Amino acid sequence: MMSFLPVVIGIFERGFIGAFIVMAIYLASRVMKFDDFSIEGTFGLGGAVVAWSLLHKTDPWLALLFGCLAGGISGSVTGLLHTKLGLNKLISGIVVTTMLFSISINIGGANVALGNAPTIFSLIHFIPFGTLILLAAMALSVAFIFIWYMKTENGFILRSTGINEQFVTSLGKSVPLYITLSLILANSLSALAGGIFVQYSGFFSAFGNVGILIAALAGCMIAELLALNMFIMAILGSIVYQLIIAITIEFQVEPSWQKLITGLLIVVILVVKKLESKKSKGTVAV
Amino acid sequence: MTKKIIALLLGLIAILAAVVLLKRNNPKENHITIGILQTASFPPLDDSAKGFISEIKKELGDNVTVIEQNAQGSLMQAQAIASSFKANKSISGFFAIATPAVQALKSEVKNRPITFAAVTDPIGLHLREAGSNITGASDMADIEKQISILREIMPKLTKVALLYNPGETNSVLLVRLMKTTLDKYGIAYQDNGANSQADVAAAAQHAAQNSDLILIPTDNTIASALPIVRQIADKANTPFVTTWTGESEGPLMQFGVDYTQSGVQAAQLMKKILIDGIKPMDLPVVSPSSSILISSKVVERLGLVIPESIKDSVSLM
Repeated sequence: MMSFLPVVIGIFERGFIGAFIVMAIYLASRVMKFDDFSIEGTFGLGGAVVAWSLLHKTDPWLALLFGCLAGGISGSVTGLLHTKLGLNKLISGIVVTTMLFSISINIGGANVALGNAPTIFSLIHFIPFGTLILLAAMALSVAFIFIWYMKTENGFILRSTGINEQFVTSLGKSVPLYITLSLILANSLSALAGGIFVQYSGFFSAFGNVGILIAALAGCMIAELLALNMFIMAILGSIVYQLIIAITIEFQVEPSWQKLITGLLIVVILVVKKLESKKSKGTVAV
Repeated sequence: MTKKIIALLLGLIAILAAVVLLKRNNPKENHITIGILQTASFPPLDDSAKGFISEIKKELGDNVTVIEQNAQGSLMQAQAIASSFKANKSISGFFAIATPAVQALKSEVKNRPITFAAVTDPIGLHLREAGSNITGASDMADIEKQISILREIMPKLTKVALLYNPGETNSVLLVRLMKTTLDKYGIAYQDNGANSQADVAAAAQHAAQNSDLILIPTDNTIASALPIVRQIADKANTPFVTTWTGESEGPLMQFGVDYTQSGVQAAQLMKKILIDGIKPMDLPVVSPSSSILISSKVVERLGLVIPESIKDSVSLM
């Protein structure tokens, strides 16, 4: 049993970090119906900005804020490409992610170690389970901020934009503004996750965002399966995804098959969801 | 609804617990388990793993069990594997292949030894600080030697094109060294970056048309698209040089670290730590020797002559 606890703690820690990207995916592709590929790029950008800031002796919390700001800015670029230039949603996300690769390696370098630079985790390393508690607190507070925000008037209009654009226009509100706003929020969240991951693992790599989008999508689908409030479920979905990955690692599955397993997982979730919705027709929870 | 969630979580944790308990045998007397974390599947990295496994089996006999894991390029996955390794108390040593793998293991494992291979800059990555539990085989190539030999073979060399992915650490580091060395020899150079395999053809085209020679550092992106580079370079009659070995034909010169050997050396370091009880910090990072292969076919086609002075240090193929 002694060897079991650290595995679970690791799963929860990575699950909490992943939760921010799951929330980002949920905001963009479920609330706004905007499948935003730039979330993958902003994860790297957030990491690059945080790594650069830490190596330039910035306070680790301030560094995270810089990361979020950078993510928000690139989110607004995705939004503007779509709303002002009329670029297809998927394409504008891909274009931004492509551009962000260059920006990230110029800010952070291809691969850089933080060395002994202080991080948000090194500040509390003397507390038992400090890392886990800090990550849980951050994920929960961000989730509660979003739950609160979605209930405000502004949040209500944001949600409505994804469902019925004409309704929002009839209220005299600008649809492009709310689309862009949701992308800014989603990409700040993804950059936050990237920044936290850099501080957690102690290094930044330009290829750190490989596979992030598919992992977050799987987490988002698991969360939807669990329903209830999505921002809380995002955390659970992400943890469950990490649990499944950990099980495949412990099984010592031939490594070259792991990506197939992730893909199959998504298919299985789809099937389960389909069966569920047949069972309870008409009572679809959002 | 909440009941369902709790059931799902508990169910998954139970599966995990069962797997962990079943798969992990308690450490037996005289039995050694080694965990290998490989960053991704590329031929040189696979060679390192093969070299390590065959050597460690030779050194430790049947007493060794190897657990192989591959992160397939995903850092989150590497981190997950590192944390699983950390929790597995029966593992007494780790072998990390390529930079992200050693970084992920470093952040998790502090009190068991880690050896690495295919890492170019262990100092810059803070792997060798006081009390470190890490040592290994660096794949830093002797660029000075590479360029001095080039100078001997091609005395009229005036302009070199550097073809690499600016997103790969190893490449960036080697290219920086190549540039200072080329400066020293008074050879002009230009950058040709390819961020993905899809861009390699365009970059190679530009490189081939604007230079006397294409120089490629240890770069996974270019290496995996080498057939297209060869095609373009042959058409333009521009020779190219790779900073790795193992290509069957094409490069004028293949200069580089033998990755199988680097895995073998990492295994020898591991043996010294586990059996002889030497501390990792007391074992300096080793550099596998570089082999120099020159293609006689390309030399002939270009009308070059290999000077007697270097004939002994190179092998013709």
